[in-house]
Amino acid sequence: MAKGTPKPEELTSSIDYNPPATGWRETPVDFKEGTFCHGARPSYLQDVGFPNAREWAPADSDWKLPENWKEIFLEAMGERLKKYRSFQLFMDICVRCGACADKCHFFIGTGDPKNMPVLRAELIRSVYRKYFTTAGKLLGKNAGARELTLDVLKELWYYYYQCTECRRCSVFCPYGIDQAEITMIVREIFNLLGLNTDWIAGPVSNCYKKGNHLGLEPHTITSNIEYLLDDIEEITGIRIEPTFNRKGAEILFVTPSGDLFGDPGTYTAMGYLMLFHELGLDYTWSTYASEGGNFGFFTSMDMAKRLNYKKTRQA
Amino acid sequence: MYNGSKIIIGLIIFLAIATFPFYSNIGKSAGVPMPDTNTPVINGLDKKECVASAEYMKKEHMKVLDEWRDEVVREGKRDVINVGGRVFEKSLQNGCMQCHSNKSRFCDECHSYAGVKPYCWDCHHFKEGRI
Amino acid sequence: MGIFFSFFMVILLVLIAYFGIAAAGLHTLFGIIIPYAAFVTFCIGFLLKVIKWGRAPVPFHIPTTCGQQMTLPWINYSKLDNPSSTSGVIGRMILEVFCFRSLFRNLKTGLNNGNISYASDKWLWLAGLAFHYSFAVVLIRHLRFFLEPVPALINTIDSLDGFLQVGVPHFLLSGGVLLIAALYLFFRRTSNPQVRYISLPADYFPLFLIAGIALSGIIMRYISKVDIIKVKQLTVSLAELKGNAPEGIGTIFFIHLFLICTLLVYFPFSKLMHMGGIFLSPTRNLPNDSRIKRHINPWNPEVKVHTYEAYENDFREKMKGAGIPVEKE
Repeated sequence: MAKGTPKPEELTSSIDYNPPATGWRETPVDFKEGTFCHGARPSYLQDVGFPNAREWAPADSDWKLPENWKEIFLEAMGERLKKYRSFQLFMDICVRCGACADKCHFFIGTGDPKNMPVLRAELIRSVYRKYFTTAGKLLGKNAGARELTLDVLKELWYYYYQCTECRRCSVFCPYGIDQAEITMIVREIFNLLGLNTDWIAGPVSNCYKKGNHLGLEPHTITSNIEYLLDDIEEITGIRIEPTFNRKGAEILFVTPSGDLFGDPGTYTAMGYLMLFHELGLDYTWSTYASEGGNFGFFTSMDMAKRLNYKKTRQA
Repeated sequence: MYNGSKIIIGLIIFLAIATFPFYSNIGKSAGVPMPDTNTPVINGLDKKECVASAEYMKKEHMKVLDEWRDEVVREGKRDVINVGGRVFEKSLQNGCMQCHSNKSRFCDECHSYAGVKPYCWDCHHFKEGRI
Repeated sequence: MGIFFSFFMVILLVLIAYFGIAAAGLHTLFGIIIPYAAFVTFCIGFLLKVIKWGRAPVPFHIPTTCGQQMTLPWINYSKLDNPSSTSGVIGRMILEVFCFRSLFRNLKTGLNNGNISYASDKWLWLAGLAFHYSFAVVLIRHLRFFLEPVPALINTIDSLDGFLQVGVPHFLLSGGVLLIAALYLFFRRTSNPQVRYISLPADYFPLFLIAGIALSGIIMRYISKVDIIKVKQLTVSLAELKGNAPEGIGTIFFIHLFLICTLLVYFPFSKLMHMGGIFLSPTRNLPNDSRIKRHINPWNPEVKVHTYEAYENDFREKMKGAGIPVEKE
């Protein structure tokens, strides 16, 4: 974990928005301690049935990929170019105007030029040109194309897990090119190779098996809410009695599970428990579908669909 | 194809704009402009010569007139030009138009073909057929 | 470096046209065959590219929204930035295409003694607008070479464009603005460190090409001069599909024409296709109505889900212990 939190002055003094002297293709990725998330542990991937579940560390040189990782990657990419108009369009349309460049908060915070949305997209776009466009196949580097080597794959992994899919870049782009969309699709491809991060795969696996990203099991949910009800009773003198998994309720209430776990969410939770009591709403909680946020979006569209199912099913 | 109808409509609009010069000329055969030097004064000349050759004048007559205007109006140099024994005044109406008195069949022939509207005529009055 | 490669390519094109005409006298090739081939390539290429994009579906509605969504009737919602209906989308798209709306809100980020600050940065917007609009005016003006008689509207545009009435032939502003805007965009691309870092040869090439087209046009009109009547005879014969190339047109015209043909051929294979792409971008042309209408993914895949039965099987004991009702005892 972090060895002491840096001070604001230390952080900002190290930021330089000027790009380095070497071109972006020639500047290798440095897997410095503290700049990347750990690789997903095998149990998380096995829970949701993702392939290539194994122990691995991004800082190692051997990522224990299958032999034909390149074919898998390119085939998956070609498939998605045909299935997502956004992906195909965004690969062709960018004019490198640079309006998005200084808009990503990861670039603003680090000064790393590959965090500029235009360059982050260019990392995969150069691979797209090499294998999916005639100009790229013929002219190679002069058309802005590059081969998908292991180093390129690692670079893609490093930067595509630094995008938080906030879509700010899309606001400033004249055509609305959305790096979040590209990130989701590239992460889908990474999942086929078993390249995910612990920080994301954990909540996804938890959402899948336990219904919420923190992994709160049903009795934990009820006891957490009991504590909140105790506090409310202490302050107001009213004992609220919410129900759980009650059939026939008019409203199924699903909230971000962080509200049941930590501050300041717990205060919000107490707030709406009291509000619903006052309004007299006929509602019930669900321990099966207990997550308001859809963590699937950080992995893949399919995952998002699988997790969403729970909410609709419960209702 | 998805959203096919809207895309096809858009493409048709694009093609309509891009090929506009082609279909708007269907059935038409534009003639070549033939500036007419058939005026009484020109017909009465033994040597049919202008201030400069026809080839030069085609490309540079505007510059000649512009230079004459600057010299006469701004510098007051109203000296006449002598070309092959003939005397020309540095003036549109008193020089050029003496011989080329048929504006609509001479000047306008090429000007309207090329879509050019010199602003000379905004001020300089001209009466067709004046000798 | 990408800059020199693209510049060299444009110079090469100029030299090809120059020697093709001046030395080899290939008027028919450069005046008839290449323009027709280029135009056909452009039209078909454009069509095929848009159809290729059209073949891919839009599985999810992902408009980028920057304002309040439509919710309750008494909350003002952002009709343009978060459109809920087609009319909002049309308004947004019109402003995007004609006024470059997204570029207008551009900012530049800077560090002010450790404080991150943002300032307005509308130069790109202005240059982009000037470039595109002057290019449009130039294109419309050039219709006078293909239509006979020349429509009154084009003559009006000519008088407005040359309202300054300087020079002979009178200077047309759109050509000058086009050249200056193209040069500014080039200057910006080289002087802004981030934009320079990401620029590829394919970014410099269209700029040099269009600047070359504008420059050759300006030289042709004001400096070296050509027999414009013969030029129009050529262009009208192209438009009438007759293809007669008269002798005696200056070389500079063929350089200008050849650069234009290169642009037409280059267009469908490059980033210049953003002309068609902007209309298909799902982050701009969709209303944000996922809560109003249910959109089904055209290739809705079957996915493996974790059913309630499986969940209860895992946790039944704990649920019973906590007093939560269960399906099966």
